[in-house]
Amino acid sequence: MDERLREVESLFASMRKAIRAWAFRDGLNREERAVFEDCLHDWCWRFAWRPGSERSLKNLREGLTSFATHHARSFKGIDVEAYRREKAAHKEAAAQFRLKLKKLQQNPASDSSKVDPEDQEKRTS
Amino acid sequence: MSDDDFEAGDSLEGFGDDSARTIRNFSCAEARFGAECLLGLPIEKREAKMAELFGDDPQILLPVFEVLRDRWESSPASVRDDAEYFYRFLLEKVSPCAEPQYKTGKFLFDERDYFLAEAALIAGTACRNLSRREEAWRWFNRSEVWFLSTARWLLSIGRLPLDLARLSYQRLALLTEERRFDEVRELLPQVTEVLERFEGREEALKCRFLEGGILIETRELEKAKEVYFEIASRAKALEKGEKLFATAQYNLVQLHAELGETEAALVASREAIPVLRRLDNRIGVGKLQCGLGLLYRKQGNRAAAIETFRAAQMEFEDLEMRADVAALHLIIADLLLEAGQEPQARWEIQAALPIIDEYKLVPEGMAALSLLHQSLKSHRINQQALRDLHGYFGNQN
Repeated sequence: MDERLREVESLFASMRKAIRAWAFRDGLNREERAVFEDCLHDWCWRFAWRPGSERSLKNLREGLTSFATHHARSFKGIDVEAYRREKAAHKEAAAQFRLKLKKLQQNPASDSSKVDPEDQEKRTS
Repeated sequence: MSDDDFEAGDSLEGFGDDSARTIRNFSCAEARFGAECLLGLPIEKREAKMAELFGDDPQILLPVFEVLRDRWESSPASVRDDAEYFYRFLLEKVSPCAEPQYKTGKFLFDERDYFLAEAALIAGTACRNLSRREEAWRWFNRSEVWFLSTARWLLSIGRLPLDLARLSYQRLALLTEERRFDEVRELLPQVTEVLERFEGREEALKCRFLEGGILIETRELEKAKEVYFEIASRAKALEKGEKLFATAQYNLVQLHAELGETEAALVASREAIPVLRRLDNRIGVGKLQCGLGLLYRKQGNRAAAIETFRAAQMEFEDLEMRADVAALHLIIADLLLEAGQEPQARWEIQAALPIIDEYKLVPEGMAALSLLHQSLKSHRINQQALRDLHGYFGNQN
């Protein structure tokens, strides 16, 4: 993990308690709080990729505080099981996609920028 | 749910050192490679593959946009098309984040608005590089509205000033190209200050290029030289300042050439070329060739000047930068007239005029344009009108 993401992780960890408290204040149960926290965590990692964000964590803290204090209540009543299923399926799909990318990357004969993984896979199998 | 879906060191072999940086499910290098694969697909084939290639996922879209920003100086035409594609896709295929959806959707909170704003900003910047100015204004307006829209998710203004200042920089650059210098001079200090305050140091330094460009246009060449020296020196101190350094250097080549400082021009050129080639900054290479062409012209080496301007012209032709191609037709025509080759000069002018008309270029040069048209009809080219006209392109070349 590079320095930027280490900082993001550290910021998120430092705010985790407050995030849970805001979610609790808005009436979310334990599982709903976990989903809410997970969404904020995902958003945080991606936010760190926006241009300029690598230079300042101030905006990230502000954004995180905004979402945590303002939007927690909309997670009340969320279908936690559906979220978990969706998340697991997404993780699995991402793992498959990473394997495809690896195959493409390792095939020196291919011009990876001009083919799509599926076509390339058929060609090499 | 794990806190760390992606474990550090969990990257796939073969993706290099950069794989330590991650966006949740992907290492940086994997995501970037995935983005390049997606962009490598022709647009007409992309639609069917978007979900499969994670093109509808912020984890891949972030590096897609990073790649597009990296390429807007090496292939502005395709960047424009790609940015428009992603803008339309987000607008039409990704539902706005209404309350029940943002809980579990792929795009969280302000992300759809942010991506729309960023796609429009990239498309507008590419259009600016292509001198498609009306289109650039339209994209910048769209970008502004979507950046503003991200604010509805926030209690505080967050990073909005930084994003709006990045957009304002592009708008001021477009105003500079339209030679609306007073407006730029009025607004530039505020934009620079906001960028510096929000730690957009590279963007803040980019504002100095506009200042330098205007000084060149107003023929304050020594002052312009100081500005570019300062940019080059500050860019060297930045972690990602290489691109800005090379840009400052090719501007210095042009300035040294104009001031007849041959040795300094060649030194600046030698420093810039390897960096521009490494960064695949083809716009930069073309501009640097223009500077060298100018140098040869100042030295009275007409043949070398024409050859170098032609090389720059071919680069711009490949990049579909037609305004720059037209400007170079006029400059070459001027050189051919000096050499007494009027028929060839006529051909060059006739190649440039339709482009100038089509792109509505140099509106302030209408008088010179009209004189040039008339002189072509009377079979005796008005060289002063020709010089006046290509002088109006100065900021581009």
